[in-house]
Parts: sequence; C-alpha cells; structure tokens
Amino acid sequence: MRVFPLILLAVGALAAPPPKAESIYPVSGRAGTTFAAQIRTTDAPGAYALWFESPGASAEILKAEPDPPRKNGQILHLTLRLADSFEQTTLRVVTPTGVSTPLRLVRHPEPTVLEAPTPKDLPTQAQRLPALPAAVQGRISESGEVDYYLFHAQAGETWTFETISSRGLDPALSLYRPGGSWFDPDRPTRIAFRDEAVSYPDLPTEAFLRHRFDKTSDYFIRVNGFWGHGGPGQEYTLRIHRGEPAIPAKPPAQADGWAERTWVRPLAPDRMERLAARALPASQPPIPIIDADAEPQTVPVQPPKIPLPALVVGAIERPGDIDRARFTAKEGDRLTFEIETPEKTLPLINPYLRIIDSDGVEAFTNILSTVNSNGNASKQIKPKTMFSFPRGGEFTLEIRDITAAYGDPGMRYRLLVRPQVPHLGEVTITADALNLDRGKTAKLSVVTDQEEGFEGFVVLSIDGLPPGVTAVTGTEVEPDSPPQESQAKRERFVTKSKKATILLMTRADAPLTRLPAEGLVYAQPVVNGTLGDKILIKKIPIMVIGGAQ
Amino acid sequence: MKVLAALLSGCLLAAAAEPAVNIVSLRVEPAQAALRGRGASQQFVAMGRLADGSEIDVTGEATFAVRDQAIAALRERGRVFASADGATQLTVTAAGKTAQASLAVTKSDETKPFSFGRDIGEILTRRGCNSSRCHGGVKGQAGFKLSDNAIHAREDYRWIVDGGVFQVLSSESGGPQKPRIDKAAPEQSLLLRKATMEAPHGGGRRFPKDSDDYQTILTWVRNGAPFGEAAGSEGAKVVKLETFPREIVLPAERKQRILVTARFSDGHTEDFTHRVLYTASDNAIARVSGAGEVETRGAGEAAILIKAAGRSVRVGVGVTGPPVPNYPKTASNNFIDDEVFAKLRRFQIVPSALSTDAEFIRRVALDIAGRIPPPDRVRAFVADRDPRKRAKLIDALLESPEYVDYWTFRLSDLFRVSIFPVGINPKWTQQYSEWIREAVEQDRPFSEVARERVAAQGYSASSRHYLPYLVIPPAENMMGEQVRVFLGRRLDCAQCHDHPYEEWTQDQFWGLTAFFGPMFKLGGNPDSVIFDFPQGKEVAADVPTPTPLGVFHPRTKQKVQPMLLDGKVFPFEKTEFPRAELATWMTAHPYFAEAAVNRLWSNFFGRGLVNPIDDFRSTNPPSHPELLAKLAAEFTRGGFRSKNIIRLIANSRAYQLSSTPTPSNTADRINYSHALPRALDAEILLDAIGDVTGVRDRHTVGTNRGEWRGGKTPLGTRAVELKESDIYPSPFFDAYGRPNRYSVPERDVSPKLAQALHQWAGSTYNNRLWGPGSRAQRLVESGAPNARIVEEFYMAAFARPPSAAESAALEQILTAAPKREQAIQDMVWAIINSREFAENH
Repeated sequence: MRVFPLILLAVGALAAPPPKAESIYPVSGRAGTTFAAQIRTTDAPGAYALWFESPGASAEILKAEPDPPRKNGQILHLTLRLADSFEQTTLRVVTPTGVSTPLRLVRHPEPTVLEAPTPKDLPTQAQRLPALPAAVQGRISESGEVDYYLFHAQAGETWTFETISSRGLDPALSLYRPGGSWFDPDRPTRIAFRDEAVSYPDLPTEAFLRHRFDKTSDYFIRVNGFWGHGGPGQEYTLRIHRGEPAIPAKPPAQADGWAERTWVRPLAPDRMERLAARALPASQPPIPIIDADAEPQTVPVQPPKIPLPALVVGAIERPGDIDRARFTAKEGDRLTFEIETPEKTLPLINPYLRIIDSDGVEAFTNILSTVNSNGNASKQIKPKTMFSFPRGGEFTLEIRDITAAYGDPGMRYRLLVRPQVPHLGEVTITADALNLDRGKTAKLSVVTDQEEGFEGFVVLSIDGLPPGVTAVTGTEVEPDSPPQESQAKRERFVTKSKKATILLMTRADAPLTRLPAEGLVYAQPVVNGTLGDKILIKKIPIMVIGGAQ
Repeated sequence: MKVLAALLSGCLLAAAAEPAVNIVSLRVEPAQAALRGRGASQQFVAMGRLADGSEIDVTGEATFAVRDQAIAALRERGRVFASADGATQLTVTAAGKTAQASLAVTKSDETKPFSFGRDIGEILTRRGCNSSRCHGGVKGQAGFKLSDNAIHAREDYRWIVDGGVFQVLSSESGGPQKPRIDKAAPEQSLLLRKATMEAPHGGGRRFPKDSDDYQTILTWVRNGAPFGEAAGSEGAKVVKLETFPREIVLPAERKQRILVTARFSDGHTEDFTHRVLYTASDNAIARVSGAGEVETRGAGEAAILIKAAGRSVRVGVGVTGPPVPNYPKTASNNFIDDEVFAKLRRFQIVPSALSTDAEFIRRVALDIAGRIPPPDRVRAFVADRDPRKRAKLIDALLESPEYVDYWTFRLSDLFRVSIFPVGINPKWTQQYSEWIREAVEQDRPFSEVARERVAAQGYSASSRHYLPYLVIPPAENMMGEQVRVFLGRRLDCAQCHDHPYEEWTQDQFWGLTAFFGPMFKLGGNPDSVIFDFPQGKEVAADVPTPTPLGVFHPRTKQKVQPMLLDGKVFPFEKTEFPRAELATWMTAHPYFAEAAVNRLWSNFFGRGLVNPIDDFRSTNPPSHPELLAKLAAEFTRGGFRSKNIIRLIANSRAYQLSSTPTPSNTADRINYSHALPRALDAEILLDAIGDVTGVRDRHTVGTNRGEWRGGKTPLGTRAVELKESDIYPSPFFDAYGRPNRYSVPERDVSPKLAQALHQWAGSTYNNRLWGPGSRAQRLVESGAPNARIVEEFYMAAFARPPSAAESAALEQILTAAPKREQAIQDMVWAIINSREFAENH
C-alpha cells in the first residue's frame, strides 16, 4: 500500500527530457530573403522562440502541430529571415523545458527552387529546373525515394552540383544524359556519379560533382540517400552553380578551434608563438619554411640540412616519392614532429615519417604499433610524434606515403620539426547546452590536455551565467579505465589529460530565463605561478527552467 | 658389325606389309634430324596423304633404309641410331611412294657424363614410378616419395640413397633411414627388387631384369650410386616438349605414332619419343603404347599426357564418327568460324543452321546486355531487311547502358563486390563497385584493371577486396584468388605439396604467395589503408607484431622471397613494391589473355574453350587450342579491351547457330556445333520476369549495419544493378544460385527443389501475374483480344510470336475459361515457368 504513492512521487520527480531539434527544412537559405521553414522537434512542447548562435538570422514561430508517428514529436512552422550578411549559424528551439539540441543553417547564394510535391522517382517524373544556378530544397521522405531534376546545359559549360544535407541523410549525386536506351526509351544514361568516399559518424557525408558538358542538351541530376535510406527529416539542398565545390565546414566543437592531433590543423611559421600563447605568451621568431621538393631526391646522396625549428613543405608527387632532410639533435633534445595534410587527408594520403640516425638505424616513426591482449597487432599513423633523443648526432628524416602506389602533386604535406613547447592542449567540453533546474545542481565536465610536458595548472571559469546560478569546483568519480593494450610506445603519440568538474548550482528562486544566456567557458594556463592568457573554450547556451520552486 | 646390323634391319623391314589404303603422296617426319652424342637416336614417322587431303600414319607398313649405314643404323622400325659423325639420308617407301629425310650425326663418340636427374630420373618417369598415382603422389607411397616427373632430382636422390620415411608437412624423415639401394650387394637393392617384383610391390612390375633400365640402375649402384652431374647443369635444360602431331583426329580403329622432341635451353633438340611416359586419359576412346603409338577406339575426345624430364605435354585425340556424306560447306564470318567449323568438319559433325532472327535477338540481348529484348525491338529487327542488321544490333547493344549494367554485374561477381558479414566500410565497397562500372563503361584495358586490382594499395577503390573483414586475409588465399581470376589457374594443391597433376611445385606456390606477404592494414575502420611493408621489413617495429612478418615455407620453415612462376626472384631488399612487379608480370603473361578471353567466351557459349573456365591445366586442355590462342592474340593486339572480343564472338556464325541440333551434332556439347541452352542467372531471370509481367521488386537492404537496414532500392532498379549482393537478402536469389561473393564465386544454376517451390508458391512467380501496372492488366484494360494478349506475352518472353498451334490452343483456353483474368494469369504463370523462358538458347 505504501509503494504506490512512492512510485507516483518518483515519477513526478523525473526531469523533463531535454528538447531536441531533429531537422530543419530547408537546410539552407538565401541571404537577404524571408521564407517559410519547418523544424521537427521531439520533447519540445510549447516552443516559443528560436535562438541563433550567430547574427543575421531571425525567426517567428507561426504554429506547432503534432507529428503523430513520433512520440512527443512536433513540427514547428515558422518564418525565417536571413540578413544580407548572413553566412551560417547554429540555431536552437527555445521551450519552457529548455533550449534544444542544435541545428545548422547555412547560406546559399543561388535562387531557391522548392521541390515539387509530386514524385520524382523516375526520369519521366523529373522536375524541370527553370534556370541555373539554383538551390533546390528537397527531401528524401521515404526509403528508396530518389529525386530527379531536369535542367538544360550548354556545350562547354561547367556546373558544380553539391549537397547540403540534414543530419541522417547521406546523399549521393548522379548525372544522366537523356535519350533512352535500346531497351527502354525512358532510360537515361548515367554519365557521372559521386558520393563521398568515407562514411563514418562525424565525417561529412555531402556529395559533390563537377562536370563539363560537351553537348547542349537537357540533363538529369539525381539525388538519393545511400543504400536507399530516407524518411522524415532527411532533407537536402542541391546547389547548382559555376564555382568550385564549397561544402560548408562544420563549426568547430570548441570555440577556440584548437586541434592538436588532426591532419588538417594549420601548421604555419607562427606555430611556436601560437603554442606559447597556450602557456605563457612569448615572442617567437617565425619558423623558416623549407621546400622539400626544391631538389630532386630520388637518389639522395646528401639530403639538405635543415635548422630547427623548421617547417618542411612538400608533396608526395609520385608513387614511391620519398622526401628527405637532415637535422642535428643533441642528447636529451625533446622534439615534436607535426604533420599537416592540407588538401587530402587520411586515408587518401598517409604520410609515413621515419627518423634515421647516422648509422642508418631507425630511431622512431610516426606510427603507433600496438599489440592487444589477444595478440592482434595494429598500426596507426599519427599526425604528431614526440621524441626525446637518447643520444645526439645527425639524423635524417624521411617522409613518404605508406603506400608505394600513390602519389600526385596534390598529396601535399607540411612537416613541422620543433622543440617541444609545454602548453595547454585541447580542452574538451562535451555538453553543448545547459538547461538548469531551479534548486538543483548540474555538472560540467572539462578535460584538459597537458601537452609536451605541460605541468602547470589550468584555471577554469564561466562568464555569462544567468542570475541565480553560481559555478563552483566539484569532483566526480572516474569510471574504471578499460585495460590498456599490452604493448605500445604510447607516450610518443598520446598526451596526458586531466579532468575537472564544474558544478553549476541554481538557486531555487533563480529567475527563469526566457532566452538562453550565453555561458562562456574559459581556460587560463598557470605556469610557475604566472597566469597566461585567458582562452575562450566554449560558448554554451544556458537556461534556467522550471524545476522545483 | 654395322653392315650386319643394316642387313638385319633390311630383313626386318622387308617383311613390312603394304598399306591397306591408297595414298597419293608420302612424307616423313621429321624431314631433318640431328643426332648428337653416343647412342643418340631418332624415331621417324611415315605419313601418307590420302586423296581427300587427310594424312594417315603408314609407319607400320613402310620400309626404311639409311643410305650410309656407317653413319646411322636402323635398329627398330623407323628408329635410327647414330654410329659415326657425318650426314646421310633416310628413305621411306610405302604404297609405291617414296619420301626422304636428312640425317646429321655429330659428337658420336661423346658420352654424356652420368646424371642422376637425367639418367635415373628418366627411368623413374618413363616407368611411372614417380607419377602422381604412385610415389610422385602427394604423400608418396609406403613412405617412399619421389618428385612428380623427377623435377626435384636432389630430393629423389636423397630418398633413394639415404632412405627414410616421407612426411607431407615436414622436410624431416619420419622413420629409420634405410637406403633403398645396397651398394654392397647392388642386386639386392630394394629399388630393383621392388621394380622387378622380386619383393612385393603394390605398383607391380615396372621393368624386367633383362631390361636396359634394370641394367642402368644396377650399373649406377655398382658404381657407388653417385649423383653425378645435375640435370641440366651443363647449361642446357629441357624447356619444352613438342609433339608430332599436336592433335590426332582419326576414325576409330586407326593408329598414329607420336614423336616427342625435347627442346633445350641452348636451342638444340633431342628425340624423346622413347624416353617419356605416355598415359591416355580415356582408354575407351584411345589407348597408347609405351612407345607412343596411339590406337583409336570409340568416338569422342581424349588426351595423351606425355611426361619427361620435369616437363609434360599433351596431345589431343579426337575419334570421329562415321563420315557424313556430302558434308555441307559452312560460311565463315571470322577466324572463330574458321577454327570451329574446321574442327567440326574433322570430326564429321554437321553444324546447325543459322539461328532465326528471333532466336538471335533474344540470345544476343541476354548475352551482351543481360536483358530480354522488348517486343517492339523484336518486331522491327525481324522485319529489317538489312543484311548487316545483326552486326548493327551487336554494336547497339554494346553501346547501351544495359551493357554497362550487365558486365559490371559479371565483373562484380568475379571481383567479389560485397560488404561481407562484418558489414564494415560500405562506402569503400561502393567505390569498388563504381571503379568496376567505370572500367566497363570506358572499356578500359583489362590488363590495366587487373594490374590495379592485384597491386592495389591504400584506401583505393580497387583495394577493397583485400580487406573483406577487419584483417587482411592470409597471403596464400589472396595469391590463389588473383591467379585463379586473372590466370585461370588453380594452384591450391601446391600449397601443401607439389601439384599432383601439373607442373606447379610447392616452391612456386609459396614464391608467388610471398608477393602478398608484406601486406598489412594501417589504421582502423573507416580509414583502413592497405600497404606493403617497404622492402618486406616491418615499419615501426619498436613493438613488433607477434607473428613474424613474411611468408614461410611450410616444409623448410624458411622465409620465402617473392618468386614468379618462371623462377625470377624479387628480393625484398631490392624491390620497392614486389606486388606491382607481380601484377605487371601476370598481365603480360600469355596465361592472362587466354584466361580473359576464355572467360568472355564462356559467357556466350555456356562453357569455356577451357572448362571450367578457371581451371587451365595440361590435363584439362582447351577444346580449340588454336582458337584460344588466336582470341588471346586478338585480345592482346586490341589492347585488352573486352568489347573487341565480345564483338568478334557475337558476330561469328558459330555463336549465331541455332540451338536446334542436327542428327550428327545432338550429342556434341563441346564443339559449338549448335547453341546450348543455358539457365539464366538469378538476377537476370528475376529481371526478365519483371519485364514480362511488368511488375518489379523493390529490393530491401537487410545488412547487419543497423543504420541502413530497411533501405529500399530506387523505383525501377533492376536486380542486375544491385551493387552488393550480400546486402539484399532474397530466397529467390539463393535458390537460383546467386553467390555471396565471400570467395571466388561460382554460380550454381543447376535445378533445385527450392526453385520448384518458388515456382509453385513463391511470390516472385505468383504475385506479379496481375495488378496495377502489370502487362496482363494493361492489356485487358486496353481491350486487347485474346490473340493479341497471347502474342504480346510470347513476344515479351520468348521474342517470337506463338506458333499457330500454340496460339490456337491458348486462345481456346482463354475463351473457354469462366474467368478470363484468371486464365490469363495462368497463361502468364506457365510462360514464365517454361524452360524456353528461363533459358537462353
């Protein structure tokens, strides 16, 4: 008899699930226009506003209607206005239960064409595009759906076709020449197909295709989801324009945009200064740039000698191409070797770095070899390698592609060889919005990477908290770590990390927020008691919501 | 003595009978002979030409005489032995005709130094001791192992002289080391006692005690059983065995002697006719004597396998049926017809008539584009009076997008486009499929495509098959697949032992495998990259892999260096990318073009010139060796482009023959005398059912990759267009033989019970007969009369109108049926279940 009211109490105490913004249609808009849009939400009852991270966009919610197939699903109908200056933004739906997960809205410069509501699954059903350039707003509403569009191109014209798609849609593009086949008068002939080569969570799935038309004619362009995927919220913009493909970059996860171990982080002559800025700022001379391809090195009798630090730039110009350079290191020198691949990246270029001593013995490489407890060997190529030289002397560095079969001038690399600079590395905050219940405490976990022997402290702070919210230091129990692989020289490739917990305490009488406050999370390195610069790590929308009062 | 020998020879030959048939001319083979060394001999064959141009062996009836008997002497019929240096002439007489051959004898006083490999190995080969069925087999016999065909003389010597018990997977002896010879009492040598059956011997008596071979072995033991000069160590090795004739075609109960000539690496030749082992593949068709005399028996084709000195060769024997009176002349469209029809004529098999236009258009549309032709196209084609219309149709089909679909599908089978059970890297698989499609679309040289696939590295489209699961497959599997796909050979047997029937050795197997030894996967899913450890050395070996890098010979346990089949070694330390060298070698090798054209050929005839198409071996010879060679040469000359060969084949009259047999070719299955009906592949059949009924399936993704499950193919997608076979589960495809492509696919199109169940109760056959969009419903709703409905379905399914009888019978059924719609559905069901529909013919 006592159990029943307890259960009721427990249910009543459950927090409302966080609101989710699932998709927006259209996924892009033309700057300087006002247009109708829809957002699919889940657990977002009473949505009353949209919150934009960047300027240039505003919206008015016109109505909300249920989306029956989904539990707690709604469709918000709204009007979106994009200023002439609009580029791209992250938007969120604001509800009484907090601010939603983000959606991305980007700009397209071309005139907008809305897809016709009729099926476009066959060439005979294709929607004609009146003129190019155009940005077609379409949907793959159900599994197996494809959209054919018919357009006219003149001989000699080159057009770029590229998609901007909603989360969950992985579009592919096919270009067809009409004219029928011997078997089927309605069958067009495919003349090009493009889909991105690598599919994996968090990697872009956009497709682009650039084609020069050799005949004045009508053509079809087809959009489809990979393996017939489709359904609610699978939306796309098909941009057709004359320029180079310009798939909008994803906004960086962190405001500082700092990336320590990616292949595409920019390595520039000011790298040392930028590294120092993440410890104690100090003026650093620019790093000289060495052109590794300045001289043919097919049979290097004496590779060029480089000073340290140095930024070696070059390309794997042909299969089997190996670029070499010599440098001198002293016993105990701690050097870092960083590689950037600015145009292609893994797995399309795989820069393999070897450092060889004067006796021809390999000192180390940028490959992490591991053998797990099952005896399975694995090798991974790394963009950053740290090494402490046990003895001094002249060394030769070799950089090549790990394969012997691939090479072209577009396989460019930048290799930075420099002394190690202890610094604050990447700072990771996984939370992307905070909906704080009044009278409760929420946690914000921050992981700081201590790069290259950085042993200082890191001051963490939050600005812009809503009234009634205070931030204090907390602790949390670390989960058990999974067993490490049995063997590896991980220290060359992996940094040390520390985890901090910030507790956000919301007073019971804290005023509710109508629109999110922008919380600014800062990290500030401390070296030998001296404070470094304050680094903005992340902007987090924060709301104080109902909860217990 | 020489004079006496000549007189004796003359007496012997004088007794020869005259030929029973009239010959118009006579020639002797070889026309010139060079005898080198003491005891050298040459066998001659006398060939008489008949009035019809054919030749017969008249050696048995001919008389032979040597002009200068001091130089050479006849000791056996047609066999001349060197006596002294010089030149002379052999005269042959038969049926009143005379022919001559010149003879040159050199170094007649030189005796070759003893060589175990040559002198003892030859005996072991000729007497069958080292055949695959005896001690040359995989496991040897009773612990005694000899290398097949005496290719490893050192090892043979060791097993005979040192003794020991052979073990398959070890180079170590498994038992006590008891020599098989007895130097103290040579006559008691086990080798001799067994061969003469003085001691019990499972292989029976191999030679008598009074034979030359017994004496040779006995003398060798008496002399201390030396190894002597290694075979070929004087610089000349046997590189090839050649025969006369290369092919024998005779009626039953005739004889033909085979001459065997060994060609040495220094260019000189020797007569090996009496130094080889002859084996007939089918004694019911032909048998062969130990001296190489073939006797034909029943009609059919067989092969005589000839083995000697580490080499082998075969001679095809065709035993013809009774002569066909007034054998018709058959027009030839190209060299294919020349070869096919010449052989048919030799075998007195009359080819079928040219196919009808209706028969041809259906066949060629299916074979080139994998699709049955639409009725309107059939009508237009049949009505067309252009004499070049067939060639034009072939060109049109070759340029159709359906050609690209179909050959992409075919190559996707061969190249194994699949996402595999682990379901990783679906985009990589898509790239792989698109790479194949592009190759077909552009008709890229197949040699380039093959090179890219064999030497694939990185995250490239063509490297996908090297990482089916999470790790690189075993090197021997990868090698075996590439050799099978691109060279049409199966080396698998040689993995554990020298190939029992072929020349492939275990060393060759592992030498080829070594090219794949340094392959490794870098990274994880999805950025996996295939690479080869440069110079065969592990990169980043600071944490070495638990398994030593490289390929190790299972018997010697030694690390193997990459070695081509021809013995060329590519040491890792000197070769940047050995697999690329292998790819270059493979695609330049004659095997490559042969295998490729054979595969193309099989698509059009239902069987390869070598069949199975990826099982080239001396014991499985091509049915038309010259044709295969010409096709391969044409393929090579045309830059390895498939369309050239397809066009050539489809334009040949041989391809265009009717499937209706003639009385003389009904039993023929291998000579292309008529078109053989072939079951349609699962995907083609399903598409054809869709075309006829007008109702097509939407295929659904059923992979274990959850996020993609349930995805449907776009409307109108044909089964032949499905990129990966394994993500679209289908009981229909399974029943009709679709392979999953996890290993080199072999489609099984044989009838199965599951197919019958599908026909009776399956949705594929029963749910498409009627419904919106179906052909039947459209015709009925358009008010079409029964006659038109019948004709329309016949045209759609069979590419022909119904015969008068068929039409009358069906119209009567449809008219009399209480429910017309049901009767029409029954008719459609019957049509799509007929053999005529389900086969290409």
